[in-house]
Amino acid sequence: MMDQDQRTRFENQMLPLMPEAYNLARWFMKNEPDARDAVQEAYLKAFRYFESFQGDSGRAWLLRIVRNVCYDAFRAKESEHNIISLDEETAAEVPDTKPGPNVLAVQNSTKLRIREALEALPLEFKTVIILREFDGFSYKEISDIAGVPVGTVMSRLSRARHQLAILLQEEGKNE
Amino acid sequence: MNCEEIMTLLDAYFDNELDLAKTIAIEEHLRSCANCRSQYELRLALSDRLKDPDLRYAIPKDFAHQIRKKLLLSSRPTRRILSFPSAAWIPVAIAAAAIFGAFLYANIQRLLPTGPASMVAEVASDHIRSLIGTHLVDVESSDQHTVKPWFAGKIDFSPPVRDFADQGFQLVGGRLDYVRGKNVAVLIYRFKKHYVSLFICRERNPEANSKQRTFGYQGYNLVYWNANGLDCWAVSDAAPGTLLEFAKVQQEGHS
Repeated sequence: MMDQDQRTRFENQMLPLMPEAYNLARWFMKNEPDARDAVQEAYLKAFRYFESFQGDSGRAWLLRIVRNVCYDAFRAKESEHNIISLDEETAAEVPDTKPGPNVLAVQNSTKLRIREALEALPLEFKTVIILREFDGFSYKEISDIAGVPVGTVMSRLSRARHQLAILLQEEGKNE
Repeated sequence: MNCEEIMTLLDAYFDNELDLAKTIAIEEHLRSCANCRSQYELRLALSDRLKDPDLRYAIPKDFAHQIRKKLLLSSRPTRRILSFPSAAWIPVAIAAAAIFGAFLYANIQRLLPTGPASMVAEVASDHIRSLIGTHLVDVESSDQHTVKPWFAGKIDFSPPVRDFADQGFQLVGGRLDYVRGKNVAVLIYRFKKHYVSLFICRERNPEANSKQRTFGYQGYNLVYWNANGLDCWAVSDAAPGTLLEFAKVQQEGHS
C-alpha cells in the first residue's frame, strides 16, 4: 500500500499530465475509445508502479508507460487482423473512416492536410513528431520514452519531417 | 562540412541538440548555401504548422473524473473496505476537482471542512459537478434490476433502487461517487426537466437525529432522511415541494 506522501506525489505529478498522455494515446490509437482505454490502463499501471519511479522527469516516465501500453494494444489489434506489420520500413496505416476533405470547408483544407499527413505517418515516426513538436521533449527523453537510441530518434525525426515537408511543398505548388 | 554532412545533422541543429562548435559550423554553412537553408526553412514552416492547437486532442470531458474513480477503486484493498482510513482519499478528491476546474468544489472543501454543512455542500456540489461534467451516470437504465446489481462489489451495502416513473420520478441510472471519504451510491431520477440525485451511504452516526431535514445550497434544494440504517440525500434544482414529494415517495416506496 502506498503511503500518504507517495499518493500525494502521484496526484501532483501525474494527474496534470493527462492532456499530454491523452493526446499521445489518441494519435496513436486513432479513435477515442481505444485512446481512453490506453490512458486508463497507463494510469493504473503508473499508480501501481509509482513506488519504483525515482527519476526526475515524471512526464517522460508517464508517457513511456502510455506509449508502451498503446504499442502493446496496437500490436494486439494488428495481430487480430494479421495484415499490417509494425515494422518501420513497411508500416502502413489503416485509413480513418472520417469525412473526406471535400465535405469540409475549404479554408480548413490545409489544416486538414497536415492532420491527415500526420495521421498517415508510420507509428514510430508519428511518435517522435508528437513527442518533439507537440511536447517539446529532448532527444534523450524521446529515446527513453520510445526505448530506442538517440541516433534512431534523430533519424526518425528527420525522415518524418521529410515526409511531412514533401506534403507542404506540394501544397505550395498547388496553391 | 559539406551539404551531406549538414543534412545528417540538420534536425539535431534545428532541435538545439548539437554542441556549440557544430552549431556554429552549421550556421555558417546555412548562410552560404541556399539549398540547405531551404531545408531548414521547411522545418521551420512545418514546426509552425504543427503548433496549431487544433491538432492536439483534448481530453474528453468526463475522462479525468473516470480515471480518478478508477484509481480510487483500484488501490483499495478489497477485504478492508470498512476499516480503510478515509482521510487518505481526500487529496485524491481534491486533485480531481482541480482537474475539472471545479473551483467551487475546491473552495467548499477549504471553507467548510467538517460538520453537516459540509455534507450539504459536498452533496450539492457533487450533483452540480455531475451535470456540468456530463458524467451523470455510470450505469444508464430505468430498470432497477439493472441498476441495483451494478453496485454489487462497488460499495459495502446494497442500495434500495426503484423506478417511480408513475409518480413522476423516472429512474435514469446510477453512479458511484465519493463523498467525504466514502464511496456512495447515487441514483439519478428525472422529474420533468429536472434531475434529482439521490445519494445513499451508510449512516455515519447512528445516534444522530435521523429526522427528515431540508437544506438549501446555492439555489439547489436538499432533503435528508435516514431509512434502514442508510443516510439518504436528495438534491435537485426542482422546487422544494417536488423534492419533499420525492423524499416521501422514496420512503413510502421502500418501507
